[in-house]
Amino acid sequence: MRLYLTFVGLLFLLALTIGASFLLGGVVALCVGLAIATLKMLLIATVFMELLHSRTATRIVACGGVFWLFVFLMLLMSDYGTRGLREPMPHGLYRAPSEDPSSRSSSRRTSSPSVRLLEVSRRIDTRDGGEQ
Amino acid sequence: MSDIAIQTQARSPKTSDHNHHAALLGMWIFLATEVLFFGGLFISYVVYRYEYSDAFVSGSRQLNLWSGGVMTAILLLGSLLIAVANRWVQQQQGNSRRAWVLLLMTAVSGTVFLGLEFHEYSHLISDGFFPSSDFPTKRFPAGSVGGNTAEMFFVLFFSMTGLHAFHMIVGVSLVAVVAVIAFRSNHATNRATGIAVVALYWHFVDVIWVFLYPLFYLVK
Repeated sequence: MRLYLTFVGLLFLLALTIGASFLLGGVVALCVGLAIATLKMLLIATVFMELLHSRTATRIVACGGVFWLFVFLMLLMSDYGTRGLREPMPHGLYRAPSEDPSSRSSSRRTSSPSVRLLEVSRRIDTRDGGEQ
Repeated sequence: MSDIAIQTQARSPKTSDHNHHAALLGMWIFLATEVLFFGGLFISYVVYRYEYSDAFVSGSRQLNLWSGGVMTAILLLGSLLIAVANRWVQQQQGNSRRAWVLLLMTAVSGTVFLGLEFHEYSHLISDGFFPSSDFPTKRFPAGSVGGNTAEMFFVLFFSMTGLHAFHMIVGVSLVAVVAVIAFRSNHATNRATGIAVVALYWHFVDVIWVFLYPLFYLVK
């Protein structure tokens, strides 16, 4: 009986996800969608995968996989939060300075450190090639 | 110790139970590595979504939200079927011998899921949204959303859902094999371990899709 109730709950959460995507937008919609997905994951793991009734070693392994992914995500987001990469990157990933000279100075102002590093390395390559 | 003594020990309920739990633990360890395997792709998604959120909104508009919802429901139904089959076999209920029917239905639900997914792929490819040199960058508005960044959305979509589809193909094959073994075998313990291990894998693939659906289909 519990399995069938869980299935009904999962379908309800699926309907809730779709409904929330129509009502909400932006970061809020993303957070709500991921929160509902996490609820679904917990339901599947505890009831369908019987994690609650598993042995301790099994539960440690299951939590370990999710924990290391969480650490991975936290390290990534702390990098974004502290290194000032919040400014928008120019679209098109990288545009060579020679294609559009007028945009060269503006991209230097707005681009992220990684794009600026690419520009510097390209200039060094050009200079070395010219000297040879 | 004689051969007969070893065989007796191997078939004792205690050893059999130990083997069953060891097999489940082994599967959980494998699934933990799979979490990190998919985790790399999820991290890529976070990076690009963070940088080019507008491109993800315009890319997601090309996907069929309702088709994705039906696919999710079918996958959840498959999870229910294999969980019930697993419960029947573990508890040795009277209908445990008929578990192979539920397993077969699970494999069918997985096949329907894959059919819908490949149908969506064919639509996207025929519209030119498969990442390549012919990608229709001009169909996306200029400004904060460039065609190249919208293409990045489809790179992630095809790679992540493609990897998931590969796992589904493996899952459907495993469930079909277990269904055949359950139909032919009379050894209940062997059936229980095999079905439990394959069920864990199936539920894991289900969980991955539960996250993929809002990340790709419901971007607003």
